[in-house]
Amino acid sequence: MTTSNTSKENADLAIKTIVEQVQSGDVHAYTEIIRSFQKQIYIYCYYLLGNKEEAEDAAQDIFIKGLENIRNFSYTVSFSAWLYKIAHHHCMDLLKRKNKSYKFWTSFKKEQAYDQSHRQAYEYDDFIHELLEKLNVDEKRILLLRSIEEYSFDEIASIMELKPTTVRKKYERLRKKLLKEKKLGGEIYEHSLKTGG
Amino acid sequence: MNTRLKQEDKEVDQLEKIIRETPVEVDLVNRTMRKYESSRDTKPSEKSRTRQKLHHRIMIITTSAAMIFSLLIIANLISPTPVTIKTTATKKDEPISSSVFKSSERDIGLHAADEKGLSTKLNTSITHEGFTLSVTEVVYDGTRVAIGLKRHQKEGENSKESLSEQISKVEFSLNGEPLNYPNIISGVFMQPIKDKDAEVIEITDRKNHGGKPFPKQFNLTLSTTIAGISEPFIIDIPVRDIGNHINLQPKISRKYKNNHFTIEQVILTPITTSITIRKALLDKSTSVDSRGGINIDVFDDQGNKLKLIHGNGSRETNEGTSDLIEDLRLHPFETLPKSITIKPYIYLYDAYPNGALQLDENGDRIIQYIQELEITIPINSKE
Repeated sequence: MTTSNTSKENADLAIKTIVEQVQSGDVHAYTEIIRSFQKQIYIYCYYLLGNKEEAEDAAQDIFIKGLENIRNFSYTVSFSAWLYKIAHHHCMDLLKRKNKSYKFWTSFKKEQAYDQSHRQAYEYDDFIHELLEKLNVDEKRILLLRSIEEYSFDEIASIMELKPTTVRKKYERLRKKLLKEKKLGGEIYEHSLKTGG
Repeated sequence: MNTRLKQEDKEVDQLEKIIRETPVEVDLVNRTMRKYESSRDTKPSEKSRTRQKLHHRIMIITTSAAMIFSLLIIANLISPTPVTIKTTATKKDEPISSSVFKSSERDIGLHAADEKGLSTKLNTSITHEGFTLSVTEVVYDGTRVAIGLKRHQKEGENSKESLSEQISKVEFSLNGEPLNYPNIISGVFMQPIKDKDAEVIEITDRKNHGGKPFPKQFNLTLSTTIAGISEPFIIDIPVRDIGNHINLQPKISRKYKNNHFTIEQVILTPITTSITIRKALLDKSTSVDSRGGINIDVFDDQGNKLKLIHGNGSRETNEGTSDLIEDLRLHPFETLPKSITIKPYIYLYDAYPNGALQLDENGDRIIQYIQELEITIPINSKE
């Protein structure tokens, strides 16, 4: 526990140093920031957007926005939390368009599955995305921030600009939703395996 | 009860772990920095190797776009005739700002439409409550109607929201008849644009999904609502098919296990490659239907793969059948190919209990082509 905390502190300190370097004009130092957070930000985008290619594009744009605005960053929140805020706004923008365009894939698949009771057509990532689809945007964000960064409720609250108790309540609600859906997901998955075999 | 709760906790923990440990190998460093450099084109002093590379790439894209058109014209296709038609909407003559299509980075077809003068420039604006919405341009290539939109906000107002976020409702009428699409995802698409003051809205017909085909020339009325403004923005847009396409109806089918896969139609235009596929089951009585998991890649004879723009699908339920019909719209080919190859594929997953999507060392999904369903269609340039 202590070791992990220490290593987290060291990592935070390293990030702080890099951020200061970039803020003072060393743009190249930002590559270290990208290296440190790219996987997490990518996964966050991937599960919010549901598409690998878009997640890659989005992650790049988020890092660019971070770099463009880094002079405005101050340590009222951690740098990662600040990045997740940018990520949220960017993904929301994309999702609004997605709802009107790219969502046809998931909706189309869903239509097939529910209308025809052929749930077997689902595959595993559909199962995770389908579970996430049961959640509203705030719930998704909470689940993803808990999952990817293992943030505390307090940290999530500061990123989402909500009260910690609200985050906790929302988390309880999303857990219930997930558990309700899980059985269905399990069935889908088992069928999918049979199909594949 | 307690045990049950613990079990439930464990299940959610497990899901979180699956998300956290999603196997990805991403390396966005160079791509991001290149993109950043290229976005700073107002600062020429910041020249870097990466930026030069990007310029080089842009030149290649432009050259390739020029090649498409040269080839299409060589192939005796109808040459593009841009039309300018006066619109009936309330006009506010403002200088036309830069092309929205041109700034469409993700869609090389629209970019090419602007570069080659295939799109019709419009300058139709409607103003309500100090908010002006303009249609800057339109193009219809027989597969999709793309409309460029731009906003001009009240003086001094600079909304944080993009135009896309502000648009809350989109409806269309064709020659005065409302196009009552079942839902917004069934033929109306919004294309991401980097400029937050701009947007591309696209609409396709639903001729393969129970609707009528669009005529060659028509008046399209866009009615859209902007958040916070009660009155809708209604704009008439004259649309004419640029007629620059190759239309093939190969109806070639392949079979694999219980799947019957058919290429119904292929349309090649300077802006779009449109492919209509039909996915049927050989044994319709089966309870196992894995058709939804079959996707396609499209290649030219040189192995160049096309990027998907958008698509829509429906289930055709006639006399007990339930074929899946999908219209996919992809980027145009860089040069007119001798043939195109459609390669159906599925994604690969790890075995139970992890079952995660398999990714390669670049973090890309691992796919498996189904050779038995592969179809190559020769393109006769004299068509």
